[in-house]
Amino acid sequence: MRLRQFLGNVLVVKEISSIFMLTVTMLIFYILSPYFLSYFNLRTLLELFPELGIVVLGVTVLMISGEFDLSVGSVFALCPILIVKMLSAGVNLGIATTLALIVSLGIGALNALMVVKTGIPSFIITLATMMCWRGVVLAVTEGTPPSIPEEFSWLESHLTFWLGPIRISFIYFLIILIALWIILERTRLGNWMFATGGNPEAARARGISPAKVKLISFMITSLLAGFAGLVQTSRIGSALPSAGQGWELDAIAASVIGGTSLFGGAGSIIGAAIGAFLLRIIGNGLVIAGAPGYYFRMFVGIIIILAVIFDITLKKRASKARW
Amino acid sequence: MRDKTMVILALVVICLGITAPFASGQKTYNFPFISHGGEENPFWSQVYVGYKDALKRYECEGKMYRPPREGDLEWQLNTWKAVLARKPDGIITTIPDEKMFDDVIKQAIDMGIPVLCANTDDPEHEKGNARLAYIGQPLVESGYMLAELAITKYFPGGPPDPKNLHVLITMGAPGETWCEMREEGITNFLHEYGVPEKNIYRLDTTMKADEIQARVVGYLGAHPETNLVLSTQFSIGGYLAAKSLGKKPGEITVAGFDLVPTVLDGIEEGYIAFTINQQPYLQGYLPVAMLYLMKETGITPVDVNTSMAVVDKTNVKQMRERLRVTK
Amino acid sequence: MKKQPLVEMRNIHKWYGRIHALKGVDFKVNEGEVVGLVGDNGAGKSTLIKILCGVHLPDKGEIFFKGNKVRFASPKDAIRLGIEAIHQSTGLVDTLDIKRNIFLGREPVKKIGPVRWLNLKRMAEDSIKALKKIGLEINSPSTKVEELSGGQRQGVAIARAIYFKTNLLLLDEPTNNLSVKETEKVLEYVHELRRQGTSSVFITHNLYHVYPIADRIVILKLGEKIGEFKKEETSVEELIELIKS
Repeated sequence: MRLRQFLGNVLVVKEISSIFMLTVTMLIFYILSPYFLSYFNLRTLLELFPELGIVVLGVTVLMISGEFDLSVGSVFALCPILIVKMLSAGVNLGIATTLALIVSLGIGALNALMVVKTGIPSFIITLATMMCWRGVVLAVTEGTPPSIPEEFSWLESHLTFWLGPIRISFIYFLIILIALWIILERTRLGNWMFATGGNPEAARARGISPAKVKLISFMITSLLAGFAGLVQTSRIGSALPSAGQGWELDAIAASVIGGTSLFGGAGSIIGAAIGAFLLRIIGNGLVIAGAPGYYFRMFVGIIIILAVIFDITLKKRASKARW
Repeated sequence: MRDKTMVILALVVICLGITAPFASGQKTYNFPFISHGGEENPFWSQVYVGYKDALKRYECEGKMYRPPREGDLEWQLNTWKAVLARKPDGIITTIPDEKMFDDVIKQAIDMGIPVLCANTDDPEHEKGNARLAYIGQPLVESGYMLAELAITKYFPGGPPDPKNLHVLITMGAPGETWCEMREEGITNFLHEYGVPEKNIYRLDTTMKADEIQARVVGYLGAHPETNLVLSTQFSIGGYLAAKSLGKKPGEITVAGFDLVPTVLDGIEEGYIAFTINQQPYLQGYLPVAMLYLMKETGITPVDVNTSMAVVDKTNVKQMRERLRVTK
Repeated sequence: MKKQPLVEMRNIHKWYGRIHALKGVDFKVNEGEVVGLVGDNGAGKSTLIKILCGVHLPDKGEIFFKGNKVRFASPKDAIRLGIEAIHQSTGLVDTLDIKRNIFLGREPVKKIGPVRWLNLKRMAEDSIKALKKIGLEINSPSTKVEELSGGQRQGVAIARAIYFKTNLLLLDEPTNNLSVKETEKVLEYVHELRRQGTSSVFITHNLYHVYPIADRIVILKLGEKIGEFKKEETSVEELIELIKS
């Protein structure tokens, strides 16, 4: 009986299904090829992951608040390109970076305003803004990655330098993860975010302003997307106009794998981080295992379905175990 | 408990079943090919045939990695790192960006893994990148040649007065090195010939067939004075657009690169004047052969120009018969 | 001298487009009272309550709270005066647990460093106490509300009102879709609510549910008040006749 209780307590941990899936997947890849867990490859995995991870953190907070943001990929590309363009025009690096991040915040605020004022589902509004801002990116760059001026290298060194086996960007990701976890799980604002996503009418009846909560969530999402884009440009040395394409769906998938509900009001930011890591390692693991590239998308699909099934099954078992 | 175990077992079985045939365990050489060309890009299917044939001939192993989305350079870089982690015997790669791949290629070479570049080179060639050799078409020169031939040899009624030329340059991937280098070559010749800059327009068409046609139609419709369309890749844009606008074959001179089936149709129908073949088969075949020989006999790799052969109405039939694509 | 009512609504009119939903309704609630608000669908009960809790503004008429004229521009204004509504589906957030629901919007915090942390311990302890007060026993205040039965949910909402010393609780169809046993329980909670000093308005179309617990019963029909009785003055059958006529 004590085992039952223990299982009940473990199973109800929100993140259990994503932890389980991650462990199983890594095990399978390792069995298929030991190179998967080699030092070199682990280094690669940890180096590539923080950019998607940071975007996913923002998207999860927003999904918990009950909304979607499909424009994260476009903001991801736009922020670093704005900085590069400003640097080429002679603007000081500190000012350029601050302005670009403020623009990212502004895009989030704009998304929020449109969603709240018009009542049109955020999925549709941000679908439109996604294309809009991607258009701006292409127009500003004329499709060609702009050359990165010398001044940018300060960012390159401070955002992505190596610290033993990891880049500093991984630490930034962890800091953001912890900060958001605290906000979501241990502050009033977090409680209001869950409430706004779970039942906005009830929240409003208790004096909470769902509009304000959503505004904050949208702004967090866009700011993090812009920052993540900046990190990627620092790492690869190129501000690609095509950067971030498709990331909006990857982010939603990662959140769902981590236990976030598409209907809002429930989710785990740690689970989402695990989900993001899982998504990132699939492509890598499949290459190392020697699988042909055509199977990548199929595997991602399978894993998403399995993750959701596990999540639901485990939740049912957990609540039974406790009653 | 049972359901979960079943699902895990199923997943493991699926994974093993699919990947087992591909998981290595033999003593032959492994030469992966990492490209920027999208999975749906027909040109790269031709490279793949050459690559597969060479692997078979030399009894080597290898996989060609192409991103699901054409030109997804981040994907290419990530895949590069994963491939490198497996320590292959050699790597064949394209270099579609001036800087992005410099570090990781140097890293591979420092690790003792030879890296050959195929199809698309660093603009600064061996000065800009540590790759050991380039097998492909000289890109700037091929662009130059394209413009030169189109104007001096294929223009109806002989080489025109440069001021009467209105040129559209269709670019499938602005920013990628191969596209920029060819455009540079084209522009060099046009300027030498005396075409005023205001008569030259560069259009980003992307590499997606439907998008290409839509954009070129849009441009030609708005600029009926255009009499020359030069492409940095396959010239299906010029061909399909001219046809759908009801132009007669030859009314607009169209020329580009590569031998995808649509281009051959265009040549036969007279819309496309000629295309320059860079022999993708060789770009897939020769790097494998070269790596193999490096390993077995210790030769030093050399640059290879896989050709700038012209295919026009006179030899298009033979080319079509010999065209080999993966089924 | 008669004690003034807790809340009084005078001559309330409300139009939805061209539909005259409320036609000059007077409605009052005294302190420590349970008022049954009864009528068929379309009578205007929900509309009246929505105006009283601040969701809508009346097109005509006035509202008085403890004798002072008030205007509710938003639910916040009503909440400030201790007037809250529990609608069937909108009272609680299903995905949150009991303690977070009870303290929603008024979460107790503990300041450590620069962060105001949720005082989860106090939330848990006070939740258990609040639920016990109305006789609702629950295993753990960390149980998600979606796992509770309908009657338990109403209990949580009512316990919340008692805890925060709400002046007036508006219960919109609280016994709909509940089993007989659960309905009994909810009526007990409402009884306890009155004992603790909170007035309530019990909106329903089911006279049998509200009659046992109400002090006064008000009947609406098609936007008008057609009757108002103290419980002792009437019976369920008489009221049903009145509505049917």
